[in-house]
Amino acid sequence: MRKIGIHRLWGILIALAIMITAFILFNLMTYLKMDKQVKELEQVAQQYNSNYKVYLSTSNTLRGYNTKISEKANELNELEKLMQSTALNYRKEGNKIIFSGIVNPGRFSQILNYLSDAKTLKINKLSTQSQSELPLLIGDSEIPDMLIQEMEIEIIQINEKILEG
Amino acid sequence: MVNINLYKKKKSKLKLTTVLFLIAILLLPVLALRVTIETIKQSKLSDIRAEYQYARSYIGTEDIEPMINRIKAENVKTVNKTAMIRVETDRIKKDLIYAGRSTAFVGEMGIQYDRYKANEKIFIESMTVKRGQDFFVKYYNVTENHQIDYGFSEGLKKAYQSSGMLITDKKVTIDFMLVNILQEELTAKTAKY
Repeated sequence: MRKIGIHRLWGILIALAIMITAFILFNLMTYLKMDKQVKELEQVAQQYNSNYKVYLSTSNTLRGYNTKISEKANELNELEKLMQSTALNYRKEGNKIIFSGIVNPGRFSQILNYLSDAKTLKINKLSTQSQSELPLLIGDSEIPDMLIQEMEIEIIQINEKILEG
Repeated sequence: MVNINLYKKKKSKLKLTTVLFLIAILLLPVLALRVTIETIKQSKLSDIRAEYQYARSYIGTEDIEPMINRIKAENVKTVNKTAMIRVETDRIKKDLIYAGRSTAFVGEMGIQYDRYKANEKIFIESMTVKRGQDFFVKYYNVTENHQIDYGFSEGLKKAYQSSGMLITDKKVTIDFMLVNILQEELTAKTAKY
């Protein structure tokens, strides 16, 4: 039987050491790192996926409101036309109509009737006062004019930039 | 003729190229396993791409770490955008509810006025509608020939109640010569809108 020489034994040991080191460095550690990263990637992908679904659902709800509000987008313009036809001296600031002054009850009633059908107009402020001492003039045939101290009507609008972003 | 090995006792030495060749052979299984690991990685990435459709566009075939960082950044953006949309949706919902309440409050007055103006007289003394406050109206409802049915007042209160408004009223009836006068103050509990 041939004996393994000491040099040959050293050679085998060095070869094994190189192989094991290479295995640890290039296989085991790489695999463990890859496995950890893949698990983390799956976790963040899952989280992103579910958050994105919530985002889609939330933005769809807002888009739904936007569609419905857009269908009524002319309500403020219609009110403006009505106020023009009743010769009320209003002013328009952006998406608001602001008015103050004296108005005949019949015309005021027309505005109130229009507002009752409106869906996207909100009355931010409305403060009225009768122009006459009541009930002293109740016996009179004419209903006294109204003093509108302040009236601010605004149309509801969605900030569309939020939906674009 | 006799072959005589004159270097019988000489130690055999390996050449450098032989050593390198042997090391390369030793490393072959390591390389093969490395290729297998890369294949496993690509397979797992492919599975993730297939399962999470919205994250798909951020998952490539190269380093995983930049992909994780990018998805995390996109996730933060998505969460922020969702929060902004939710705030806007809540604002719109509140605005629509308030719009309904405020226009119903004043609109019903116009409707009831038109309905009863032939038989009754309505004098609005004061009215206040302001967001964040209770709506208020004070009016006089006058009927002739001592009629005690105040159509405008009853109709108005019914309409308010049917539209979900909580109303409190304060009224005084005045019998004045040929007419009955109802002085009424209505407060709609709308401060919460």
